[in-house]
Amino acid sequence: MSRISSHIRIEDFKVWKNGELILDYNETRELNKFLKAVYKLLGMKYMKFFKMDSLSKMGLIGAELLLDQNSLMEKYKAEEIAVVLANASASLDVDRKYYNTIKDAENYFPSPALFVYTLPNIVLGEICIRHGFKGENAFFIQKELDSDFIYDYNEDLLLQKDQNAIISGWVEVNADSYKAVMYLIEKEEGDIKHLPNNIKSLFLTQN
Amino acid sequence: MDELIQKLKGEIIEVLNLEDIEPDDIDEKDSLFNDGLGLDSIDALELIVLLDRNYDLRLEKDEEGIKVFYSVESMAKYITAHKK
Amino acid sequence: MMKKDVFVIANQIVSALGVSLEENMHRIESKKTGISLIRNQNLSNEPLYCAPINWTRMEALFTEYNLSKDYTLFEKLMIYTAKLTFADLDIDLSAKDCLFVISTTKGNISLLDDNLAASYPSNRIHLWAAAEAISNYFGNPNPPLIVSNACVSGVVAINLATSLISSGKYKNIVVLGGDILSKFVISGFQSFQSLSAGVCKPFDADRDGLSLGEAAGCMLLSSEAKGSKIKVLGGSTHNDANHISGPSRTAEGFYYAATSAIKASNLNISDIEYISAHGTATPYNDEMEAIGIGRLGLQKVPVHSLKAYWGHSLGAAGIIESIAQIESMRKKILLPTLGYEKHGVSEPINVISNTKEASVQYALKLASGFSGVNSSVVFQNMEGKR
Repeated sequence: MSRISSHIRIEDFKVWKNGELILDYNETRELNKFLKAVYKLLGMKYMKFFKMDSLSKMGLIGAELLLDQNSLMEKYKAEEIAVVLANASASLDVDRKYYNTIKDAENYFPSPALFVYTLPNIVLGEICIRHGFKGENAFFIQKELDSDFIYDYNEDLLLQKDQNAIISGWVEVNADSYKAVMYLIEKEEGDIKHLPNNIKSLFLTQN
Repeated sequence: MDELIQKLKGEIIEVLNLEDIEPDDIDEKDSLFNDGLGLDSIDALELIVLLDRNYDLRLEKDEEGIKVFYSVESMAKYITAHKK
Repeated sequence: MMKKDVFVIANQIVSALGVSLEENMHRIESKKTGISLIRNQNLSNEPLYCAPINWTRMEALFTEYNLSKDYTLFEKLMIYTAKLTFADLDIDLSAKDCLFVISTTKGNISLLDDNLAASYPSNRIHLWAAAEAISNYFGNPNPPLIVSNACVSGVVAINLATSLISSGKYKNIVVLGGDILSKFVISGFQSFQSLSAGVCKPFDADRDGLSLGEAAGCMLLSSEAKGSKIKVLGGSTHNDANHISGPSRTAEGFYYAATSAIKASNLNISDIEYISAHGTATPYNDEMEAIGIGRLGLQKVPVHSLKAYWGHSLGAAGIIESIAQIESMRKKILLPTLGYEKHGVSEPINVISNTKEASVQYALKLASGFSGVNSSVVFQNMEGKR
């Protein structure tokens, strides 16, 4: 049976890893500044981070937290490491920002740097590029996370599609409303059994 | 020209989200697209928008881009030469 | 549990080439492009080569089908295409073992315009709300699954549906994909300078970019054959881990996606007889796919791109192009690459330039998209001869 070997939550200007609160950010109520604080806390040196939209930043930070001290590439082949995420708002947050660069005929300057992020699956690409993962990718849009569905989908990848590790979860950003709950699934490592109810608990518990 | 170069450095930093980089960190003669600033093809497209939006200039042909955007100095020279 | 076979039992396409599968296939076989030069300020500040649907004709059909103004243009297009697909079939869409899988990149993005948005409930800009409006129309009891994975969405949707039927979770799945032209998307590609100055030319030495198009495609998959001889065997999706808007120069993700799909289909690479590439006609994409086909050792296998017929229809692309490939297999022909005249990629791949009569059994469909993602799916025509 596959296992959840680590999990994180980013919500309400707080960050939890494996149930432990590791950051309670109080300086401002701005998402961008908060994400930068987590970036610095992680000791990351990755200039591309600052070009990303909030969704990609959140997913990248989430993956970084999950993988801290856990080098998947030493355990598995690149093509066996998958990233499967879902959210409700797709890329709507940055879609609005991009739209602002084109909606006014008098000030029409479409921004390629914003446009490239107007697809929800870009966050999968950013995670894969950062870590060198060449495995399966999927991004689903759901009103709320369907833990039965994502459980089945990921088990299918592990059992039928030669995937050995999956970064999965929910990464949602829509203006001031955001939430990320991500978890790492491995075939043999981890204390939590990979089961729909356990996935549901990760979402519901306010650690 | 110096004033324009300083202004351009600030605009480039802002438009390309170059965090923690100050105008003084950019040498105007240095190649913009080497490892230093890590600029890529999307950044190049944003610089084209910058020229259009802030200086009302549009490049004539694709080939010009490589020469114009080589460095901050080459951008400043182009703007000065084509100023309306 | 024994894996169930997955059959393609019905297909439909609505696009610039016509309002039915028959019309679309007829125009493709006549080598007619749906791409033309349009002047429409609602879509583009400059004249633009693209493949728009004939909306005047569609509005008349929507009225005929009583599709009211409660639905957005995107939703009406999707509902109409699905309705057409079920027309002659005895499928219970309200059954628990029937599911909708929707593929789209931008759905109701036009609702970012406040004036337009005022006519609809505020949540309809969300893809999940648009998808629900569509599946609810048909009385389907399950929340629809929505795949939004850039230009590979259609293939990912087909693969998802195939897994769900194969594992016995659903009997019938409606795989419905679509995107409509919008200033949002067109302006973005214009800012990327990635649009062709004319009708796109896949794999051609003079190719200069892609042409955009709009379409909807519906593929009904089932564990029951209902007389169909077409099966979906397997599929896969892999990332290049290279760049979010440019493909890997060594076709990493493409290679893994293709080999995994072929393996999942219990085939050898050499079993593939017909390839439908992504072939957007950008300098980089087509070169990447040629290199990928080379890595697979499939340089001699007939390959086409259908992008010059419909343009790049984004969320619909993977579905409508798969449908055309399947239909051509049924008709025992291999479809040519409109727009291709002079070989323009480094590998000597076998680009089909004229309709070829051939009976084939195993076909590979490929797609690539922003974020460095690459998808593939293998189809089988049981009546084809190896």
